[in-house]
Amino acid sequence: MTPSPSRAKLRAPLGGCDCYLLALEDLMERSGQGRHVGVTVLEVGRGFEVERLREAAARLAESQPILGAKLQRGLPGAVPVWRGDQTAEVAVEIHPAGGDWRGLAEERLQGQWPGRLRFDVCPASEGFVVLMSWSHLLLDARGVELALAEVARLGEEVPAKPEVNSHALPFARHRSWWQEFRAVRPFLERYWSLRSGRVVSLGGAPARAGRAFFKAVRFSREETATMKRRADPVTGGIFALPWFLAVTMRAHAAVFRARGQESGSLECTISVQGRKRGARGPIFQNQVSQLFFARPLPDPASVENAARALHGQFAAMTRDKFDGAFLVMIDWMRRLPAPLYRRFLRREASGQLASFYHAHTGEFLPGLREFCGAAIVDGWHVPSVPQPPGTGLFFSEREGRLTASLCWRDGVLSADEQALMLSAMRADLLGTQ
Amino acid sequence: MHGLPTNLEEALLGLVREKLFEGGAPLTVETDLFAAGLDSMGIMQLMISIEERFGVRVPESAVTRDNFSTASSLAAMVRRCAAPA
Repeated sequence: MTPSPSRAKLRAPLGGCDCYLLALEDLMERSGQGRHVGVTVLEVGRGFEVERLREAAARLAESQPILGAKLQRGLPGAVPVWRGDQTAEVAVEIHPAGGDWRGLAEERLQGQWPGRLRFDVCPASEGFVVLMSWSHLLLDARGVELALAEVARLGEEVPAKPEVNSHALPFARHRSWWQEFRAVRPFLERYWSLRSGRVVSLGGAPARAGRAFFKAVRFSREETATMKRRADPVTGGIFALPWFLAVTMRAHAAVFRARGQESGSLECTISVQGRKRGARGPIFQNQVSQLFFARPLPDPASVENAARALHGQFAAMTRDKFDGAFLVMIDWMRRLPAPLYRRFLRREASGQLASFYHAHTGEFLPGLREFCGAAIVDGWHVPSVPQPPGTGLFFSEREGRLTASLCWRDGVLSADEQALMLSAMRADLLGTQ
Repeated sequence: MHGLPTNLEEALLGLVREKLFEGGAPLTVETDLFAAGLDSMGIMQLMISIEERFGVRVPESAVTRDNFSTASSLAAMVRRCAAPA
């Protein structure tokens, strides 16, 4: 095992995004929705070595003291911190062959397991399905993949690079209040302009309990290639974000139409990475900013037109440095007492700002071919979405195959509505009816 | 084309390193930036950074995979954008 010199001294203040997610988890727990967790599904081939995973997980726990740290909120006005010197156990549980790994993944999505990271290994017909369950307080989607890459590295006999456990904040601080105010202004202006419309979500405004569910739709390489050819005239082959957001908005709008409800003001916050490309860390810290998109009005008649309109919003927000403005804003908010932060978030999350969740996390584990002795066949993420808004549509790719995960809370989508949403999604992606 | 540095390729590579990639990333002017992880957000950020650093306007029609694939192709695009109409 690799002892960390910083082991007994961990004191890691939560970043702005960590505090945002802490407030969201508070809100979820108070309404009986459990913790804000996710499950990442990793399919590997034959030759997978469970003992190698056990050893790597133990090394990870030893080298990353934050996994065993306790959250301390401190006095009002203080930034919450992770503190501790205990080694966490990162559980690795083997399940019998022939079991229902999808049901197990759904069980893990409820968040009723100890710790902040665990693995479940399920033998499958052509290899194994490895479920990595994780707490959103420590990991965003990129962090999840960095953690998997770190486990793969620690599963090697001789780790070639030092562990990564930095908790540096992802952006430069400004020198004065005036500079900070100027930096945050694009966020405030867009935030208030978006609030002028009545925003709706399929789950409705009240936060309420309900199990988290998901359905994964796996597209073949041929289908994925067809989708790319179809999207290329709009995306230029490089702008996936507005295209997949348009698909997600229209899939939600289809359900609103089927309910006979007005869906005029669909809005969505899209997470964008703060880490630089090629970075190995920090692993256990949320480093995302958000962009706030609104559904183009009047309703575009095609996914192409919707994507073009959203592309315009994307370009405008990037020019205004909206992502940086949001980071400054949530950095300010780190010192908000928990009840005040929840109050802010309830206003935001009660269907007034986010109509659904969505992300396209790009290529899954790019550059990593093997995991604990076996070839990686495929992988994707399944987050538990809070209610409200109660639904989310997430995409990722692995070696030319797209996977879509539809996530919802119990009572938000009927079986017919799930089918309708997925059918609308397929129609827009593939150009079929 | 006044105002563009003599070695525009290297200047653009420096910008790419500074804004988008981890410091130790082994990038050259011919590195495939998409294979290295360039995504939607990165392209937008790079486009804005190019406009701010070099004082050119990058039209939407110029934001293509070919133009953004390497620092060399970016340099050719910036020269075209800076050329008098």
